[in-house]
Amino acid sequence: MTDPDDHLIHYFRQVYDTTRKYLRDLTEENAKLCALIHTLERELDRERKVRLRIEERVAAIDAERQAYLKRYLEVEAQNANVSNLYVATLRLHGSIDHNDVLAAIHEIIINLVGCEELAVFELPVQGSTLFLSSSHGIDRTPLERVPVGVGTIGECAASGRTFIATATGAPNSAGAGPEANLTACVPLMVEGVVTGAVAIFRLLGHKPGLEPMDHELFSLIGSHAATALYCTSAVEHTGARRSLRARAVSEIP
Amino acid sequence: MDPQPKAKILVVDDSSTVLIMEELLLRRKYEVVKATGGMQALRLAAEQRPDLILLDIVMPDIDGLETCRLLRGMEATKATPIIMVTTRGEQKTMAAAYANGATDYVTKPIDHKDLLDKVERCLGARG
Repeated sequence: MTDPDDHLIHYFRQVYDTTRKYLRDLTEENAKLCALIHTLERELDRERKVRLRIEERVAAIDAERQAYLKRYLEVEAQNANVSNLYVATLRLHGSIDHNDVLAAIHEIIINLVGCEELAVFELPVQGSTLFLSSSHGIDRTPLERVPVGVGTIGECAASGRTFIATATGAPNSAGAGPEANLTACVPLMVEGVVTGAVAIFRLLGHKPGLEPMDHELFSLIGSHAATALYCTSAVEHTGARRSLRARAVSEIP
Repeated sequence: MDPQPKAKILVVDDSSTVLIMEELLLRRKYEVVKATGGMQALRLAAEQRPDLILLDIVMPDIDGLETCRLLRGMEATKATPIIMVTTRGEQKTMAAAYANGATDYVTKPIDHKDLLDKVERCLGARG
């Protein structure tokens, strides 16, 4: 017969041993979990760094993309400007007929600058008065003859400097009467000598003001239109065009 | 495999400056046919059957609005997209252009990107 106390003692010992084993297992498990947490934290830290590097790379690629887009738009605008200048040059030097050159100047100002009110003046050698050679969309009468040095247009011819109205759409401070709506006046110059002027009045209604491209076109008109007009006048005076035509006719089989 | 044929664009303007500029702008991607007036445009449209027409409004023989109306009456061009190209950017002119059958419009001086976008959109819509 076993003593009930022995039985109880045995039972408590068993419970004690089991609990101790359980505690040991738990401690071991806890140590493993701590190690795992430590590994995972290291892993997480590494992943965070990788993510940060990827985010930085994405930001750099995005910045690069933005820069390329900006550059693309700039190149596209530059390309448009160059093609406009090419077309203008082609038109100005595409004929030896004086009237064709005048028509080309009109077309450039109407279609590339965006103005349907313009006047082209020419200044004879040693002359002191600008003569209106052609115009579009304006009353010719008050501008048929403009003395050099008088008014904005005359002053432009005297100084050889391009006039640009100060504020977009604002009345021109220098001008009144026929010059009231003057937006720009470009002197025509051949080898540093003024040979005429191109006056540009009101811009088209939907064009708010002059753009950088217009200044490029003015510069081109000031030199190339001047040369083209001067040369075509010279060709007409020398009769070279008639000779050329005669040669062309003689070469027809 | 044969490359896809280029879409054909008829450009109509009495200004050589505009014709040269439009041709420069379009010829890389499209076949360009040029006309200097409304009458020539009607003839070329019937002969060439363009995929799109760029039409100036102010022209000496038949103006662009009338040309547009006549093009809409022709079998060959009744559904062809027509983009009006004009210095007259005001509402009244544009309303008249749409009433005569225009698909869209661009104003002069031509913004190259705007024109190319509209051409592509019209040709895309045509399918």
